[in-house]
Amino acid sequence: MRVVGQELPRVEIFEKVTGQSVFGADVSPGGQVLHGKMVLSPHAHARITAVRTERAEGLPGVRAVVTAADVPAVRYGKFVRDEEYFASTKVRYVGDRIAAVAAVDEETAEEAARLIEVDYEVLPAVTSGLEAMEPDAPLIHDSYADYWTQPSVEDRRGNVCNHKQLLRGDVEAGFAEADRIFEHRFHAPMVHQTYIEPHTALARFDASGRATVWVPTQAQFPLRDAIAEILDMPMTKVRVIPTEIGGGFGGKISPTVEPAAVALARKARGPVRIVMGRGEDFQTTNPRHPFHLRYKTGVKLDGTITAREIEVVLGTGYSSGSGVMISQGAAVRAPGPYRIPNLKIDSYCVYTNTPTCGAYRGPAGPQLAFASESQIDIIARELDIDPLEIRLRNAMEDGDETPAGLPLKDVHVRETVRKAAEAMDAAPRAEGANIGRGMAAAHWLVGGMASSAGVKLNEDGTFAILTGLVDLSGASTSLAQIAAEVLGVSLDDVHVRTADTDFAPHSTISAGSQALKSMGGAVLLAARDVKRQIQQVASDKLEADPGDLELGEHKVFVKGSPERSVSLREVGRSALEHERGPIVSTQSVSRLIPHPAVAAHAAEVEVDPETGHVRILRYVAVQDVGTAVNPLSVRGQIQGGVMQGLGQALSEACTFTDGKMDNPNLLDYKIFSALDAPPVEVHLIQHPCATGPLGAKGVGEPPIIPPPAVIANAVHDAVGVRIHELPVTPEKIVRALQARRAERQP
Amino acid sequence: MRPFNYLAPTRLDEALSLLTPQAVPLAGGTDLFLRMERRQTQPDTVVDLKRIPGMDGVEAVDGGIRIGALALMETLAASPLISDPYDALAQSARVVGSIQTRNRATVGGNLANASPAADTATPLMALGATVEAADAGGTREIPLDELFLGPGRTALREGELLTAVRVPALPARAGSGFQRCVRTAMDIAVVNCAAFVQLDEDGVVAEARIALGAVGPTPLRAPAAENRLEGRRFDPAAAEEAADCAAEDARAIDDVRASADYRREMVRVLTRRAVGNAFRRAQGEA
Amino acid sequence: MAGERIAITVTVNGEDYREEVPATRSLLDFLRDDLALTGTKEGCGEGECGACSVILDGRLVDACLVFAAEADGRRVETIEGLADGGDLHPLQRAFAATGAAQCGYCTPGMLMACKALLDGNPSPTHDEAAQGIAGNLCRCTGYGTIIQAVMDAAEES
Repeated sequence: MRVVGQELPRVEIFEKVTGQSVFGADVSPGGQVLHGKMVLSPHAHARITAVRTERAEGLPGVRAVVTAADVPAVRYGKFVRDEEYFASTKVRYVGDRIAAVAAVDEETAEEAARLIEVDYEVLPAVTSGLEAMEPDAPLIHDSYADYWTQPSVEDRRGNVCNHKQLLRGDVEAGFAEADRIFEHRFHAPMVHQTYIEPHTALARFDASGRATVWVPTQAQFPLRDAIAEILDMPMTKVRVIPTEIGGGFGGKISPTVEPAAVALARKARGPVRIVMGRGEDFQTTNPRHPFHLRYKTGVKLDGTITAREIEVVLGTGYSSGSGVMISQGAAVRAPGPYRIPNLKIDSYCVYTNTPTCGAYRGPAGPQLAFASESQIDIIARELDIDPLEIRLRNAMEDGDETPAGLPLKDVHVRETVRKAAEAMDAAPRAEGANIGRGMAAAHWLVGGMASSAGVKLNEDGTFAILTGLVDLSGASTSLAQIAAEVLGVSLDDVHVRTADTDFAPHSTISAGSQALKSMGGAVLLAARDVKRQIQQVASDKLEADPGDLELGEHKVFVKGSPERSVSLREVGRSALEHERGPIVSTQSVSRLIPHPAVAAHAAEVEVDPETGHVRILRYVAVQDVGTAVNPLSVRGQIQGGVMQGLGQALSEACTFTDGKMDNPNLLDYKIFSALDAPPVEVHLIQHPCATGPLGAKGVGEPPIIPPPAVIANAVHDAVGVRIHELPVTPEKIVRALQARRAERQP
Repeated sequence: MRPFNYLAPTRLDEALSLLTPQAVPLAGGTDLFLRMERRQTQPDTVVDLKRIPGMDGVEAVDGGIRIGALALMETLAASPLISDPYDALAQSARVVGSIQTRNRATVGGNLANASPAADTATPLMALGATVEAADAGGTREIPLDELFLGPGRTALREGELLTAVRVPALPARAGSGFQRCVRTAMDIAVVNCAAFVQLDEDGVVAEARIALGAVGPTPLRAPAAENRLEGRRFDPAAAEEAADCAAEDARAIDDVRASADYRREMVRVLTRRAVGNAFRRAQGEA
Repeated sequence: MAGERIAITVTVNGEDYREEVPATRSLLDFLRDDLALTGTKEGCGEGECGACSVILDGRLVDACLVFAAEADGRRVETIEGLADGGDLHPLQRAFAATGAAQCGYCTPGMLMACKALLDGNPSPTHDEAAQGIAGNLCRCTGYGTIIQAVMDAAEES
């Protein structure tokens, strides 16, 4: 291929390196923009007995105050309708929305927010999923039984808002068959996406009753629908215009401040911008679910896994959000990339008095892999089997089925895992004490969502792609590469525009590793159709059969006689006179078949046994990516994903005291800086995938999944202690080493 | 942020006259700006000291050095007057925040904020520093050991400004060491520790000073640990014993950054390492 | 009490701007709101992320922690002034070529940090480059491509 597979700079790169890209807070709609500010609950669980807004409304410069009384009494939620936008009778977490204000400047808005008085009757709160399942736990949704749910939501009881069970084979028979049975518990805490651009929205409300919202979102169409639902407006009276987005990682899918901005703009009769502070962003958005995990695994002495019984308890936060879907997906992926004949998996989605968790990159992936791959490592050591061997012995293959019964194709577990081991073994182990190596493997299932794209031939022989896909991670460049490949031009001749919800054909969201699979599929079909139209128009000019025409070098030519050609420019112009008319095609895809994508990583670490500090000496990431449409983007995604995964492995956690987050700032929520980041050696496994455009697989999520397990396994190899709770902090390592010394010297 | 008046005097006496009880001095602002933003400090007047010439340098004085209160962390980190003899101080200045912070944060601000975790406080204590405090009536010297009263509280009187830090001459056969424990590279210290030893001609410790950060309401001296070293020659056991004593001296608490137990354990590890560094330098090895 | 407004003159990317600002105004808000130079970003407002990095009188600073009044009479360099007319700075070209900008939100501050680094140290080592950008958080790239871009740009100039 000429264009696909090339390491090309991004199509929007020059705006980005010159500061010209327009991000959420950079939008200027003209005229005075009011400053909006949210008023949030300081309590994790409390009844609201009164809300008084008079003092705020009376403050000079305040233009609007909105509360639950100003929005329709809508209860919403995709799986369980358990959320109200402004709390009316009860707050369920620190950060629950009470009101919003709009004022002429930031100081006045802040002052007005302080003047809103709320009376609370504080209730006992629960922030741990396990504790929320206890019979005497405070009930977070008193009337949960009356809520509407989707049919897939099962077995709701108390704070449990979904329980998914998957059974395969006979798990008891599987354990009976095993030589050894291992059982361990693991915990992975809540972690936050920590995109560098905080949430923000700018809303305008027209005299005609139409709302326009400029917002950095990964999901403009679902966001439009959500705003319309929450404010009970006709869907197409809401226009969402996606801006450039400063990182999302799954955190910019669900609505946050957008409905408040619209409600304020409507009441204040002027545009309103809300920009979240970092603390508000940490405490009121959609982080990764905390997981409590129990893995029980039966194995033969040769390492063959005979059965796995897995219990997953996911704390969803104060509403179900995407927790039901993620707990269902967790059940399917919990066993790891292995062929296990007997399975019993129970996955619980449980309300807690915390922010509603969302779909952070590879939702459920790192938590499950941490537990599963730590235990695989424990088993390998106990049975004295090489960590690579035990993974190869149990690896799933083409034709194997997920626990839900979906048969898989394009499975490359063995090759990916073997390559990770090989790459790590390519250099000798560093000299010295307290050095260790670890590996882990994981798979991800990449689905797809209905998408449509337009491709047109411009009259100067260039092309344009019309899409509603937000470019989160290089998707626009890859779409352009696919079109350029089909149409025989270079990347410079394909322009991509992300249009808004009013004008773009329906688009998938930029999440779930499937943006390119879905939208790329639509672009591929549209480009191929445009090519057919070009061939048709050119065939009249060249007096040749359309089937004998080829595209290349900005021309259409007769196969075998390149001198008989017509330029694309000429085709574009003559199409206007041709019976076909202008050359344009819009094509759609839906019902895409999920494919697996595998990541296998290995690390070498050095642990300071006195301070517990872990230094990563080497890190290898191998990923099965199908066709890498743009290897520069693919490697970039993998390196970035690994770094977020390493943060989860070593330093990141949202912690809570009395329901309030202890560390809602970048000083105490520790993401990696350049000084923490090891170089990441990336290897791509490229076998074209039957279900991806030009063979591409989903790339974005798999790299974040293995690192916590890799690090836990490497630390164990280095100093002999096993950490069962993320993150693997220096303090936990020191404590484990002290405990081991105490055991040895009774 | 609450509105205030911003004044930028160009003379010290003018600045001192402006420092009324409702005024705060502004140096680098890396801490003050945030406290004002969060309304933890709501002054009527902010007196920016950066337009006063001559307050940001490092100079050799009486065999020691005098560091202007407005000297930047980057200045401390790069100054040859500091980096060789006062190794612990140079090291501590190099790890204060990011380069953006070190380009704004000043030594005077770092001390006057009286954060228990201030990175330059412990080496300056170990090096026996004093601070100059000026008000309209004149200037006095305060030993750094007596400056800190509690988190954010100092012995500076109302209207008094910390104008300089003096570090005494480094005696022969003396050396210092600095150690720090953090969660990730860019972090406030979970624990920091500075050690200073001076040996006599026989290599016996004549004087030792050990200071601990982030394990009490203020940066602390560790007297028991110092006593344990004095009169001893360097050997691993001496450092180990001093470290154990320092762990006793620490008054660590649990917070979001670490538990008290871990902090105490780190005091032990860091003290041993810092004492080792100080000895090696005193013996002219490193 | 109402704070008075202060008249300041700040040289931004070689051009003098005279404005009256309230004392509470940060240099970041001054650049973004008063001068409409929105290339400089806000990521945390607490001096932790570096998205608002600009060069003030030759030194890299977080503009969110500087009062606009403190910049009176001083020189500020921002991302808008990095390219020389139509010619991109070698760092900008290197960022494009190595994939050092993904979402692009940290990029303006990151580029200013890289410029300040190379201004002071034209041929940094890998570790010095990492030190130079340690105050600039990036959540997309993992930093490797950014450090590569610094090395490539250093080699080019």
